[in-house]
Amino acid sequence: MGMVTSVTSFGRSGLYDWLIQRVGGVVMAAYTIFIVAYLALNPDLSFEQWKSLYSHLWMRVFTLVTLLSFISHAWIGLWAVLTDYLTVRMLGSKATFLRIFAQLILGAVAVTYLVWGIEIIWGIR
Amino acid sequence: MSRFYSVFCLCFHTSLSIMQRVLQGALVIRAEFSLCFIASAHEFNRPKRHKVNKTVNKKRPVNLDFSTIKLPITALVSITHRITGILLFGGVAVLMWMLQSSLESPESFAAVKTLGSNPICHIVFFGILTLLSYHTVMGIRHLAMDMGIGETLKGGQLGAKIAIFFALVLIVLAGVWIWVW
Repeated sequence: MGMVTSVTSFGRSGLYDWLIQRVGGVVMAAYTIFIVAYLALNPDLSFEQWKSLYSHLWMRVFTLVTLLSFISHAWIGLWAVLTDYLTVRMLGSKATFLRIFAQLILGAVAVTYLVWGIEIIWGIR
Repeated sequence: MSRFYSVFCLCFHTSLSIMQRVLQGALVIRAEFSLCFIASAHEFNRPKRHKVNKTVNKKRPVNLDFSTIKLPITALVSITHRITGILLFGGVAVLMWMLQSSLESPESFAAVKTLGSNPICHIVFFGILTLLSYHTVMGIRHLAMDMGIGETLKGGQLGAKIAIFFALVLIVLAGVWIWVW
């Protein structure tokens, strides 16, 4: 159980997970503040202006880094939630199977978010 | 006379040995009785003790009864941080769909900018911004606590209250942004 718990963590160690989750959180907060400030400072925003913002390489990198931060941050957070509540003590012997199943779905959704996000940012014509 | 004496002696010895046997027997019986008494006392006590244990087992708090526990503000803030995080994992799909639509065509951009004509869209977007505001502020609280700020019980309680205040301010601003501005 302990091995199955630790092997499905993101950074394979609590300290790495802690750091990745916090760095990711700061990146996402910065991106959110940037977008909100941009929208607030440009109340008459046009489609062309918005599109040109997302055609800059730095904006695409910023968006991709935010997306990667989101995926790792969510994996670490949801791993913590799953290992806290889908436990053998709470649900019996099926708990480990249920948790691995939940993490497989979580991983599938995370990869889908990543591919979809790359399509959005690099699909702009 | 000597024959009589020898018979008497025999009788005396016999009676003495019988008496001795009886006494010994009595002692044995007494010993057995007391052993029996101790044993029966054990037998008598064991189910009694078992009964007591059973009642103790029933009263022992194996699991916490959440209906009798009032969550302290720090626990409340922690569990809602988790719940908003789980909900945001789904909420991000809506935000990414909005980003995709806003970059597709001028028409879809205009639709995203006005958040559509459906008031349900407004409520959903407000909901996501509420989750985002709350989760972000509580995340900043975590960063502060990582740096050693508000780690004591009092500090944690005060920090939770301050964070709730800022989260509420942001949520109200989000509502103003969507419906008023």
